Amino acid sequence: MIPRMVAILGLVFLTGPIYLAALASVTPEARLFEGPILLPSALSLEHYRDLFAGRAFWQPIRNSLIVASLTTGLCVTFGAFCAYAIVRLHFRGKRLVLGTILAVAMFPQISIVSPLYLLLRELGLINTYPGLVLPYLTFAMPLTVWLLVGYFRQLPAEIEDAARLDGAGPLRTLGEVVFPLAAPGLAATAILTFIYCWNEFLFALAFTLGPERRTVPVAIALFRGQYQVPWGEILAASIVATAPVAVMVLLFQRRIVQGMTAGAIKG
Amino acid sequence: MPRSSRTGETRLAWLLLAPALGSVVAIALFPLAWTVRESFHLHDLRSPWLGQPWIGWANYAEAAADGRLWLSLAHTVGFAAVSVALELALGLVLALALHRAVAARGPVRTLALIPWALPTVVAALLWRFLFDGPTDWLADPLRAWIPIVLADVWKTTPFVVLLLLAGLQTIDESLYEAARIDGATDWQQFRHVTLPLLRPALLVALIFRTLDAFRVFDLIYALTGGGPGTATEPVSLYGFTVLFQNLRFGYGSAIAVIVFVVTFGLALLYVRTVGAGLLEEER
Amino acid sequence: MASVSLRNLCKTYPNGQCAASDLSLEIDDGEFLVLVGPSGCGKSTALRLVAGLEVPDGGSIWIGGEDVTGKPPHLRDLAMVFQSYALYPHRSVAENIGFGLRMAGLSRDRIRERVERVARRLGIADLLDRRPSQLSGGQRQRVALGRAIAREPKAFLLDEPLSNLDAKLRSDTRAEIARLHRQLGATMLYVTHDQEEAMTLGDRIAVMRDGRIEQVGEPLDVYRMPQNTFVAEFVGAPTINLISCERVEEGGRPWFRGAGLRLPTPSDLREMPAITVGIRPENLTLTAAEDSDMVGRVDVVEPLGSATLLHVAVGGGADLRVLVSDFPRDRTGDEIGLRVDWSEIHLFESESGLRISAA
Repeated sequence: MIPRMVAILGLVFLTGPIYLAALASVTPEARLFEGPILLPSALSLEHYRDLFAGRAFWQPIRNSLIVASLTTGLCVTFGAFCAYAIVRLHFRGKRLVLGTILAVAMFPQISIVSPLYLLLRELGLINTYPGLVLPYLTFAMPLTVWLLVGYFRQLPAEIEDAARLDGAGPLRTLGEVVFPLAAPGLAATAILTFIYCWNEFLFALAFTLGPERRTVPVAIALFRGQYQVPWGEILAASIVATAPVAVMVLLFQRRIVQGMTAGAIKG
Repeated sequence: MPRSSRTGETRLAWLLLAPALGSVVAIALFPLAWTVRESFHLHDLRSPWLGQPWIGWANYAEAAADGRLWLSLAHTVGFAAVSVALELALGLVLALALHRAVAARGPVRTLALIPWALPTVVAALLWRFLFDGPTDWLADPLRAWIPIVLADVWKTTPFVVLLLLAGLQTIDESLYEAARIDGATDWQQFRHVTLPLLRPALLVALIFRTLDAFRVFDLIYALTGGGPGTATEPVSLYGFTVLFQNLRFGYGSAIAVIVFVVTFGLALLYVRTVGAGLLEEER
Repeated sequence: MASVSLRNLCKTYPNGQCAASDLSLEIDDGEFLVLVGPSGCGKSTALRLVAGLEVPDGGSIWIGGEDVTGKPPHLRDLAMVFQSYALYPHRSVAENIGFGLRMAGLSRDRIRERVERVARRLGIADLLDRRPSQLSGGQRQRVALGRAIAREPKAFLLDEPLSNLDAKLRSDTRAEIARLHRQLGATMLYVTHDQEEAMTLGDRIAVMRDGRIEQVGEPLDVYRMPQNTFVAEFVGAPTINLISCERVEEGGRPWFRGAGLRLPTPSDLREMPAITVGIRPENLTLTAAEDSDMVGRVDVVEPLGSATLLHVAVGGGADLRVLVSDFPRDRTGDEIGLRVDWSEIHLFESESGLRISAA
């Protein structure tokens, strides 16, 4: 009885604000000022229309999609190579390599943002896609390596041994056996990495200058209204910003949780 | 002959990890070193004619005397302490509840993940919206912290819940049965079976959350902007202001180094207790 | 089929553990050789060295008269049956069996034909479209065997293939493997910790300890003439009784005494202060106390079905295992006499455990 009540209360706490925000985002501007809205009444899509027509919100969405996809693609690919080498191959300095990569994940962004800014400025990459993908590697690469190391460890090495004896060379083993078996883990890693990239704020704020390259979180944070805070549009933008990650979570919940907890608990 | 096979494997291994390791070294380690270097120089982007002369410990001396910096550090530590304590407590309660109410686990887990999955600035704005009313919470230096802490707890509790839930599920049911046969009450079972066996997961949650809380930026930027005035300014936001508003890269670097040193100290704690296990498994 | 030769193999793990120490072994073409020993003795490592999954620090491996030490596993033309079967979970049974053939580049028709033939021989022809997760343990075992057989390799390597099966399945599959060996005439290197498997399956067995081979020979030879106490204890069930005996002077002549046993000292052993006497449980019989070689008290009676194992406490605090045909449980605690079959005892040096000579 009590556990179920607590669970429900917890659920209300966690989903309540989103419900209220979603509700407010489809409430006409005039109604918004009258006070808190708990139940749907007059519904209007004006905020969403204003969002895309007036503020060209499709721009930040496009930018976020491109940056997150590029970063995820790079990191999952090279992170998988790295994780495979660490888990399956013999070489000296293994602990140092893994330790270094993991340590980097601990770096506060503020501690490296200024040299990165100077570097990107030198390379002419401020306000460009590569100018975001590159800094994003600092947290995305350690994340993918960490998750994939945890995942590869769970794959039985004997199956690869069997393939080797069956006549498959190292590359064929990777393609025929390792990759298909690792696919779920790679997918979970890709999803988590994408979510982290989509949500990133500090680097995006520092390394973009205008709406052409701003990502979704930055665009939303910099919304300015003429006279007052445009809550309708901000909340509409928030819902739009949340939608893709929410969909991913709903579809891949189990895999995401596995990825999140496997690395942590095993450690 | 056997030897060459071994070195061939080593070569392949380094080939495979070069891109990942290389990018990490180039984009993180090198810049970190550069930040340290910068902290010993004067580098004002608004006054490029001054060059970038070496000024020794001057930036750090300024930092030591900078009241706003100390204030922001105090804010950060206080925020971290309160938030993490609340997140762990709430997360534990929810995890225990979900562990018992098995039927609720699936859908709750899915919905509960959404606060964790959305951008931090969105969470900040949601809670700013919720507190937007007749009384202006954000205008009061102390009261402004309440939506901040609430927003942080709201967003990160799902992570703690999932972590602890996974930890709870690794505890063998038969231990509880044995305890019950020995006459233990619910509370005693919690104290003597659950809590000790949950320690590793709690430690991981504690350390992850503390590191994250210490680096807080997005949340406060979008919720209060550090205001009113600098009443809710965390150290990362102050550093960011010095760097990108005042354009004082030298001094800003000194602040960045201070943040790094403290965070690294915490991270070492992590490696010592939990992360060591992760590295141990590699021969 | 080909011969397999391990020559002076050495392998040490980074943690200092020595898995193979100057290990040499010759396996003839078509021979079934069992590597047997306790866990950690290095038998699995030896197998993996032959397979190429591990690289030796020294020594060489020859297959069919060719030095393959530098060759990677996929070029050695060996087949291995793993303890955990190691089937490809994402492929069907047919694809599992045919995997090696596909790697070798055989045509689809030939692969299918061979796969079906092998499956029929192993009785799994109706499982070809299933996935490993849908099979029972015994069925998976057969698929693993099938995968190895289909390749028609130079030699088979089997790593404790029966240890994950329950008792009945184990003995059935053991017979199956013996049958396969006969039918295929295959060279088989089989690793196990179970001495019974070793005795029943091997043309020859090699007993290993700590990276070294203690003794190689035909099963019954090893059983009858163990070269040291380790082999004597490892091979044969129930375990052999080892009795420490000291030299004593009695009636002006030297004897060896231990556990209430007394035996005369042969002339060539007059200098030895102590020896170890090995007596197998089946070489002890119950007699009346008067004309017995030892007396003792029956502590535990274990009816095995076909025979009964007695644990008998004898003099000097020793415990002996005695195998008799029948013994009622209610006679536990009785004092009994034991007669030794002197023609079947084994003598070992006390210090080294090495065999002295046939008694």
